[in-house]
Amino acid sequence: MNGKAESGIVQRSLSAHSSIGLLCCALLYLICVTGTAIVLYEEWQRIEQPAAPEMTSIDAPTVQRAIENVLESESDRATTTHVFVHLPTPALPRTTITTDTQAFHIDRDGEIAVPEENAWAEFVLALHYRLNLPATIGMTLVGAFGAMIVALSISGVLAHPRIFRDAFRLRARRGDEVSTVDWHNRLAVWTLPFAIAIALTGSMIGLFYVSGGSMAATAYSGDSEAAIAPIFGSEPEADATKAPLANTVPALAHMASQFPDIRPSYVILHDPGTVGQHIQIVGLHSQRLIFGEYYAFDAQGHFKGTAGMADGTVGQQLAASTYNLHFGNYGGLPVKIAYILFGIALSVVIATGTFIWLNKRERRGVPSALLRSAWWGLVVGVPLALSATLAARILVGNEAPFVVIFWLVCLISLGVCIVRGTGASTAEWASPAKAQG
Amino acid sequence: MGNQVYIWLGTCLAITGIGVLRLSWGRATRSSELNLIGWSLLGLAIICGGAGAGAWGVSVVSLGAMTAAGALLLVAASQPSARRRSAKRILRNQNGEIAGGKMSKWGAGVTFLVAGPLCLFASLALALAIRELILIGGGAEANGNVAVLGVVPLAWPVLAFAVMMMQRRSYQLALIAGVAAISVPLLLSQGMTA
Repeated sequence: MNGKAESGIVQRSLSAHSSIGLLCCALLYLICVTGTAIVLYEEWQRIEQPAAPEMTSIDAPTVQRAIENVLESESDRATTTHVFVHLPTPALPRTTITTDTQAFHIDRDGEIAVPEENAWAEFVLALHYRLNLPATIGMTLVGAFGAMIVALSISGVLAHPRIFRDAFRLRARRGDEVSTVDWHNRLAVWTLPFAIAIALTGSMIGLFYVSGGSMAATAYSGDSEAAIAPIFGSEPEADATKAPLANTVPALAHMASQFPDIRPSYVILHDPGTVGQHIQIVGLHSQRLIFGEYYAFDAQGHFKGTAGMADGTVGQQLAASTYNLHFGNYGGLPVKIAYILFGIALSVVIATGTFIWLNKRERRGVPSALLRSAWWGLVVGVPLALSATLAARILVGNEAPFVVIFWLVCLISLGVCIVRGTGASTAEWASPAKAQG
Repeated sequence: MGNQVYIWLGTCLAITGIGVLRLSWGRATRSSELNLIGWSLLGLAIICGGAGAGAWGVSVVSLGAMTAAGALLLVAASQPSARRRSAKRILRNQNGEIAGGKMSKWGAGVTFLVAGPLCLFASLALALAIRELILIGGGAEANGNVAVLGVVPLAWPVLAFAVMMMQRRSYQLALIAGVAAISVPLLLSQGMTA
């Protein structure tokens, strides 16, 4: 390739990189910051409710007794369609039962201890997943931004002809525009595998409504469940006729005897108290990216088979690996710490990217004080707003209006930075000698 | 236990590989040998990770390599700049200027529509066509369906970027039309093989 053609590619890549970056920067920054925070999803839950009973394990009869207790507490309303029992895991050593309407922590005797209160962790997760918007719109939007990180990665690499030669050159102590460019380029280069991995997995999750919906519409007469059944397995026919509650004890005993290396993380009871009820146990596989394998049992706890997440088709294993690879919960605290560091790095890359564009604008003589102030407002505002919601959780409690607080603090930060920034800019304009000095 | 050895070996190789590349790229003159050694060590590290624990091992080893690079960057960040050239000159050399000239708001809007929704539709068509190809080829339905979920997030940004690299609108539209034209015949048979 001759120099002129190469230069043309670099210039056009840079142009595409700038355009995509500018279009996406604000929400992309929000998604990255919240994504970094939510790496500690389990740990935040423990901080939110430190008094909830904790245990390293729970025996099968206690699990069964706990299910019966929770369903008994709901005897005054329509029976739940699902019961999810979270079993103690190293990251979250608690037994928690969730129904269609409520969730309780369980003590070591299988008694209901306290209602689950993790509204802040759920708020941050929802903000990251769907930007507090309805799921269809929000998740699709987040998925689209994930895809744009891939586009930014490709264009960024092509726009930087000295990407490898300069890979360790970080002139951070210059404290000028060169430092900003160096931080942006170096962090982006070295977090590239991480960025692409989380962008692709996030985009796969987020764009499900679009890609899965299109697949369902074209190949399964609009039936989304039928479209994902080959991947995650299908549910048996429902039969709402009343029946005695399913027995999870033999199922858990079967897991312990037949799969001793597999750690059950969830017991899921489908359509409890009906003839069609059945049990699923999610088993964690050590040193795998998959979130787990589904072990199916009938109402009497007889083993019926697995869904194939661990040893099924490549597609199934890939789909099952998406979630853990995205959220970094596949290697304990060390992997989580690495994800937090790289998440911060990615947030810095996005923040500095816009500052580089603003610097270029100003070098071309285009005043950018307002835009720069607004960007500062957002860069500072998002972590500040997250901190404010956490403070509200601690001071006010589980019912604090997190969404309102978050967006209000973001707006205030934006407003304060704009007022301060444009005010300073006006002062500099009014007193150029002072500004230059 | 054997798995752990592979993972640790892979992590050590990855860190060494990053160190060798740091050495190579820090030299005044290019060293193909050091580059080759550095990249080979990284390649070996990935193989070790994969041999030890498949995709999990590759992920862990990759995190080790990135952490090592991050540590070296921190060292670089703490060192003073050797020579303070004009920031403007350096920036011009490093990043050039934003290319493509001025685009009208109308033109930018059309580009957004082409790179956004149009490329997404083309990616969807391509993904669904790939699913059909997998099924026609006797592949598992799960593989075909996951291919749809996986291809869209990959094809969309690649197409969007390719479109933005094209200077003529006709070329952009031709690319999208080409992708659609390849996909449509397979799309028409969608559902017949499900």
